[in-house]
Amino acid sequence: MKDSFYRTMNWLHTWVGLLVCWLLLLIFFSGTLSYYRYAINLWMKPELHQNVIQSYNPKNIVQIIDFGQAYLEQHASNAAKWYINFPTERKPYLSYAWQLAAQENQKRGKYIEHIVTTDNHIIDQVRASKGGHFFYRLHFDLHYLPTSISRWIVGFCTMFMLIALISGIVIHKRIFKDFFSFRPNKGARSWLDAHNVSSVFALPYHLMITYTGLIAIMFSLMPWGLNSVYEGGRQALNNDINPNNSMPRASGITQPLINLSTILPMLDNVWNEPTLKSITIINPNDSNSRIIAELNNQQDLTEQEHRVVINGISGQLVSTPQSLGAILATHDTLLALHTGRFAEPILRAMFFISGILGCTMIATGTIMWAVKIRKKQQKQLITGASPSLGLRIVESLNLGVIAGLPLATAAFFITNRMLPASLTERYDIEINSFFSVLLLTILISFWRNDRQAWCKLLWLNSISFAFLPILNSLTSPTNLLSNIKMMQWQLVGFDIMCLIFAVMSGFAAIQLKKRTSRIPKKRSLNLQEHPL
Amino acid sequence: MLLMISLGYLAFGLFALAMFSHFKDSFSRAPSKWQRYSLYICAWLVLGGSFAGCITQLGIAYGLIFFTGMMSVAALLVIFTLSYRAKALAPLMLSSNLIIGLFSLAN
Repeated sequence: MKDSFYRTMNWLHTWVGLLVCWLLLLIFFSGTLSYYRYAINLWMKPELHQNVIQSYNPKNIVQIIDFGQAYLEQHASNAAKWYINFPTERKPYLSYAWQLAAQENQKRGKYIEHIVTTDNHIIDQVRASKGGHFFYRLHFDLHYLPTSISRWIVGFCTMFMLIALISGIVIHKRIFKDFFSFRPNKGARSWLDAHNVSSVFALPYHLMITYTGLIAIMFSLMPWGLNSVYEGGRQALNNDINPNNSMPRASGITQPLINLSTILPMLDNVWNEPTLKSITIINPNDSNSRIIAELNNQQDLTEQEHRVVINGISGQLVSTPQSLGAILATHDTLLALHTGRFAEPILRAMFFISGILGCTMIATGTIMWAVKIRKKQQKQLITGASPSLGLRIVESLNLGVIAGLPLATAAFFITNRMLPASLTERYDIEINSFFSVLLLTILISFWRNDRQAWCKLLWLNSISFAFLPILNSLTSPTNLLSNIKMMQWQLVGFDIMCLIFAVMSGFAAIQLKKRTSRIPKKRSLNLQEHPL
Repeated sequence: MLLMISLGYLAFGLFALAMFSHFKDSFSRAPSKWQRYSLYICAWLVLGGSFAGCITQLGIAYGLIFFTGMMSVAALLVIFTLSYRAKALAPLMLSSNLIIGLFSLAN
């Protein structure tokens, strides 16, 4: 019984993992990059690399608000919404923005953002790149697919991952005895060690991120309870949870907006010297105008938007943040754990490393399967028979996706800098470049997936990532050294991560090359070894 | 926060050294039963200390998450040291804590 249970779990772990691993890798990879989506955004907009990055300063808040109101009155008098976005830890610059009224065929009106420099100039032309938001949306929208379908696919993969994790814990017999065991250069044993290490060390993270991922899309996967209670569906639930979301429509009667800085004493009464994230004005200069002040949650473990709503004409308080009930607070905490918005730089780096460990876990798992199956088919392969179809597909997809995902990411960044800054279609071209390179790598890997192909693609990855900081210095007013000097750590971090990845990729290519030269010539002719 | 990570490195290093094979890799001799037992107790004490540090410094919610993330990173650092520079584990554990400890005190 014990043996058959172990075998069943082993079977479940292998097949549940293998079936979805490449898509799961894409989801995990894009999710991991999303921890730094604002840093990626910043890097992909070189117009913002100089005299823009600043931190929140409560001393000049009145001046910022007054200047912002005057600027928006002048440039966006007909807009549906105005925004004053204060610098935050993740988005470290001040901006004045507005949203136009939605046209007939639009869900939302166009959003225009002007950035304020540290010497009070305005940058109104910033390249229209999707930046890090692309990876964020890719994580659960899979880009080309309709949302409803992609959520189901992502949910399906996540559920499989949870099953693979639990069955993996069951079958890992030496979880504590082999806790620190990693034996490099030992073939299948090394892959198993790498798989175990990446799984076990970040196991709390893997379990947390998978479970909370399912919670995040639970209303897409199981909407029936919600739909039977709420007539308006999800929107009605959201309105019930947060009445601040439902705002009056514009009346069309023009009335002047109050001086925005006069709301500050009111905010002080509610929050006691708050660090603000933004001030939003709904229907500016309309009799139904509302001012929404949002608090910067900083390191609070919450996804809740703490808002104070004020009547934009009378200046009277409309609503203050409400405390959450137990169920809602639990849901909110689980979502906050998944998104990690609360994490300061060191914890964010830990989340990122855990995400990379997750990618390693998936990649080593699927490589290990291919190594084992090739070993099983060794006898037939030596006689000249070709590998089974399953093995060929897995080996090709392994190379295509594992080497292709970072390569596609590098292509995405390179395209961003190669296209003219004023190009309006850049949004799609950048994203298409990502998928084109990924597809091309997968196609190449189906044509050739031997050790040489691995080496070449790893070198290509290494060169591409090493090129990115150089490209940045050529196409941006700043470079790695000047960014260090100006303490623009988000940009420094991006370049350093590229260099680290370039070194790691190059190191892997060198190790692989060394292994090829270590195998005796006679043996290499006879042995049909796995490329890794 | 760096002190918490270096304490985690020390704790997981002690856990690794409490294991027969890793102790042998690091010191080129077998550990006595008493040595293994005391290393194991020390590891739990240091880990407990870093847990208490995380909670008191960062609060219960943030501290707990930080502690969990710290354990992953610290254990990863230990395994890298063990796999590629096993003999350097003990000196690295002590020197990193000494340097970061002094740095934290100075601040």
